[in-house]
Amino acid sequence: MYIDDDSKEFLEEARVSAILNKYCKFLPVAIAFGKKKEWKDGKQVDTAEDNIINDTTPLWTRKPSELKDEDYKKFYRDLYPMSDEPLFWIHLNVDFPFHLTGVLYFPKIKSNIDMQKNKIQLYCNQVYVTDEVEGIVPDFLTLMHGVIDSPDIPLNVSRSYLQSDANVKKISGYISKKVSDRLQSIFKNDRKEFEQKWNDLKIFINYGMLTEEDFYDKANKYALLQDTEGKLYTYEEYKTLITAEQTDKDGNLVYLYANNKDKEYGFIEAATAKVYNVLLMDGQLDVALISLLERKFEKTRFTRVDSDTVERLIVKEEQKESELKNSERDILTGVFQSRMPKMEKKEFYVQVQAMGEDDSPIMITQSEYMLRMKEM
Amino acid sequence: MSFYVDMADMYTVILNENHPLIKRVLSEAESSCAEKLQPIISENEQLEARRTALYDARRDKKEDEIPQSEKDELSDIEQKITKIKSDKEALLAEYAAGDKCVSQLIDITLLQNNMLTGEALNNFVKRSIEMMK
Repeated sequence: MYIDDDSKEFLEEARVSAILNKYCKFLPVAIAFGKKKEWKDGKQVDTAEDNIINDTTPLWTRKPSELKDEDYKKFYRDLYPMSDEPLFWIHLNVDFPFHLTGVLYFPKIKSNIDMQKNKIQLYCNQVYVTDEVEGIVPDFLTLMHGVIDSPDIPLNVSRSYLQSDANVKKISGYISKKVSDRLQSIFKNDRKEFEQKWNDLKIFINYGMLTEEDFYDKANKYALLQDTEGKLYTYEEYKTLITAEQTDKDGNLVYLYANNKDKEYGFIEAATAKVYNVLLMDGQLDVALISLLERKFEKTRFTRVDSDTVERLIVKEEQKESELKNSERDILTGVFQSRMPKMEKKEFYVQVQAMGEDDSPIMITQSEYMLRMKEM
Repeated sequence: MSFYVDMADMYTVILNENHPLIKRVLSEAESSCAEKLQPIISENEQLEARRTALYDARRDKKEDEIPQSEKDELSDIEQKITKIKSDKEALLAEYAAGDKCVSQLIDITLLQNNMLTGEALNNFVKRSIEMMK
């Protein structure tokens, strides 16, 4: 074998070891790379034992019944040494109509910016193929971590080829279904745990519902909504909760939400005083989720709690009539308009409305339309 | 979407006409401006009535059937109404400048919406302390 001068780095032990570690970590045949070393007299010396660098029976090839939680966590730490503990995992094992094994983990996503995709490693009979699984798993599941091993995925991993491959489509559908079933079973069997982990899980579930119609149909039974007091409800439960109080005069159900509990505190308090419930929608995907839910739910409208006065958020019967004359109203608007501050990129329009004596004397609102346009 | 991002934020400031504080601002403004405001308001009412009458008269006519004198009168009225409007605004602004309650109410609601900062916030604090004395 000939090695050119500028490729001498490939002879370095560390470099060879890194390459072996990436491509041969789980080969079914033991790979020896030199001898095991030990410290003797202040330096490293070879021992008689071979240095086996791979694990010939990685976790996903073993039976789930033989494995404990600790084994899954250890395997996860081996794969992603710097990550936090995973939330849940799914052991995949199919023989028909295609072969697929693997373990997928739901990682803890620390912040939304940290949406690191494509951490799943693809193997073919324990031979490393790629860590780009776009097209093989549904888009929203590229947020997951773990390993997929299938001899039925063509090794020619050009994307256009993958997307048109029938097996790949089946595999993608299967994985999506498996994930959904797993979430559903956790929700059913241990709702408390599911609720505790909801904040970490919601990014997967909401992303999934937004991108996959089929996933929405399953996930809408266990996806949760959180109100400003921190209570969690399924879509069905929440609907039942608010139907009595939050139906307007045209029969539309009005979901009130806040983006920021502190900034909109006054409005939330006013709504709560009217026995309304306010949802907290502060996630990165929540703006898109609101539009999705408005399309999916019948006769339903989402309104931000500070988009109008509490009486007008949910219009129930005819509004209070104003008792002021036009000239009086002009005086009030004139007086207040003249004292409104001049701020860059902000315009204020003063209006007079008839409200209760105990309501705030003055408040600032921004229409739902403006709010949504700004958030797009 | 940059069109929407660049657009100015539009806010509605809603005054609760049934709240005692707003009622007080209104009655004080009315009583102290009444003398100057009354002639302006009645002149405005007359002008507006005349304008409505002129518009009613020309409703079924074509543009070239309207006599020039009527057109001139209408544009004259429009100008007068605009002037009255700005006079009225100036008068109310002058009054509002001296009413601490108005500024205080506005500042409180701006504060509640995180829009009161810098000099305005400082002025608000000073005024609040002043009012407590």
